[in-house]
Amino acid sequence: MSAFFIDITSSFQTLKQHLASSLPATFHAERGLIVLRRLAMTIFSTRHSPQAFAASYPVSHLKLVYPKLKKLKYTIQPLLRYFIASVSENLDCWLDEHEHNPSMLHFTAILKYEACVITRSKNFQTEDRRIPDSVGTLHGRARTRLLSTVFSTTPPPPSKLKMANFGYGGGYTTTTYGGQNAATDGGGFMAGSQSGSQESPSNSKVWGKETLRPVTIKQIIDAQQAHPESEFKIDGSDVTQITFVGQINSVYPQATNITYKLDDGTGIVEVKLWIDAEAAEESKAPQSKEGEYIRVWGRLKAFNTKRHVGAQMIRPVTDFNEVSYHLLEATAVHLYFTRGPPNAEAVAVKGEAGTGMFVESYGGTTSNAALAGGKKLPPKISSVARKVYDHLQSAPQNNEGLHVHMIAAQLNMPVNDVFKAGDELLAEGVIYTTVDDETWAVLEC
Amino acid sequence: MADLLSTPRIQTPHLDAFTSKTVRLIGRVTQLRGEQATIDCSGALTAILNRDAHLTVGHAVEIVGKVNSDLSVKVLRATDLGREGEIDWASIDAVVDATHRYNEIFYSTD
Repeated sequence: MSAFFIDITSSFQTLKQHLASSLPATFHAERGLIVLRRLAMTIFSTRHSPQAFAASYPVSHLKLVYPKLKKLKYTIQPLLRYFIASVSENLDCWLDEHEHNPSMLHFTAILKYEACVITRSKNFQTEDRRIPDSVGTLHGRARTRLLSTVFSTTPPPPSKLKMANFGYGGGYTTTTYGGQNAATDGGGFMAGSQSGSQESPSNSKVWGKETLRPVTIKQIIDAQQAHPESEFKIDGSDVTQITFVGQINSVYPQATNITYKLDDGTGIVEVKLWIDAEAAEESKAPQSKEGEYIRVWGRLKAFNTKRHVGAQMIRPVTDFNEVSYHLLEATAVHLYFTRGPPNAEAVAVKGEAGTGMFVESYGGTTSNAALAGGKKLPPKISSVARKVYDHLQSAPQNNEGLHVHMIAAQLNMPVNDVFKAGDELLAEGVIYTTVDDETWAVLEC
Repeated sequence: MADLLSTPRIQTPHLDAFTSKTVRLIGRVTQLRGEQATIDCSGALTAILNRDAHLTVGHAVEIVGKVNSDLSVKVLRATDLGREGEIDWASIDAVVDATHRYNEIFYSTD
């Protein structure tokens, strides 16, 4: 831990020299340094004592800092990147520790985002070659975390199980943080920095719920919007970031962006890649030409009635198998949202039935479980929760329902899993608590 | 509108269900005969080439084209995908299977 502090302290001493030598003349080095130092102090005080930090340096204070950051976007971004670079070896441990601290959510998100940008950005130059490499591993992990938000059944790493109540990793439950921070804080740093354009702060309203979903272009065209300005929904779930592949139909280089028309065989969509004004000359020219397949990461935008995708990053597909992979991945995610997670029985049946049969067996098992439950559970309910629900319905009990430990013992399941399942079912309103929070009964209707 | 723009991924056995529609086919080039080519795409089919199409025997190719009434395919765009050994044909088949099984995310039926 102390090595970490020394690392940062010494990096501050070299920071000014670095700024003077490598950043544009218009850069407000002094001012940027103050903000960065304040951020660092924020981090330090959290490291010392999270409780003391929460009391003396509450979330509301951080909210004052971040709008300033947004204003200083171009100033602070290089600073932040330098900061990440200087602590890159510790960054992963640091994120692991602080990601689940609600008051640090913003900052960890910014750090993660910036770390991703560094690994993707071709124009981030540094003498220190180890930096992109070590942050590169983070990029992969950050993506895993994003994906695990989509696939909420993915078990969190064992270390997180010990840290959090009942095995909840804070990052995996999307509702609590979203409610605490996202609704109140509009001054997101992330939204502004994403495409390099000035966007309205309301874009960051689903802060804690960021997901990265593979989709087909038809799904983009068919995405629903409850009202203009609201989030897009695909298969009834909010989409924030999306990724897809497509063949370039046409390229229009423009002053501020490059507009691609992409076709993946399911539809055609416009993708705009904003040009970074600070980027080197060669990166402004389109990298790909017509007929090539590219992969896009971005966000769905609506302008009047026209939809386009604001790309954060685009890269050419070099192995055509990625196209097949992507379409199958998009199908798998689509089925996850419409039919629920594949459960163990479905896999077993699939294995026996051989090719061509798995769809029927897949759908069949899901509906069997629902039939046994007597009432159709929403598709997103996990198989564990279904099991608990079925048990609650069928097991002999009085009107007080069953206690968590009793369910765990009767089903021969870990108590943590039962709590998780109960939480899912309570959130859906299909069961309710009776004599205390840990005793549940099925809500008959 | 979307159905006009989508080009469903199909294979030779599906051709008669998609006559006069624009489709996408991935297959191996087995024979070149001037303006025509034979493509193995879970079954042989005849492709009527356009001038821009540069096919190579032994390579995989993706064709966007219109299915004629005689089940030949008029090529609108052909993309060379490299040597056929580098393509995972099982996943190509799986994509075509998924396309028609879950067509709600791939193309609209009318």
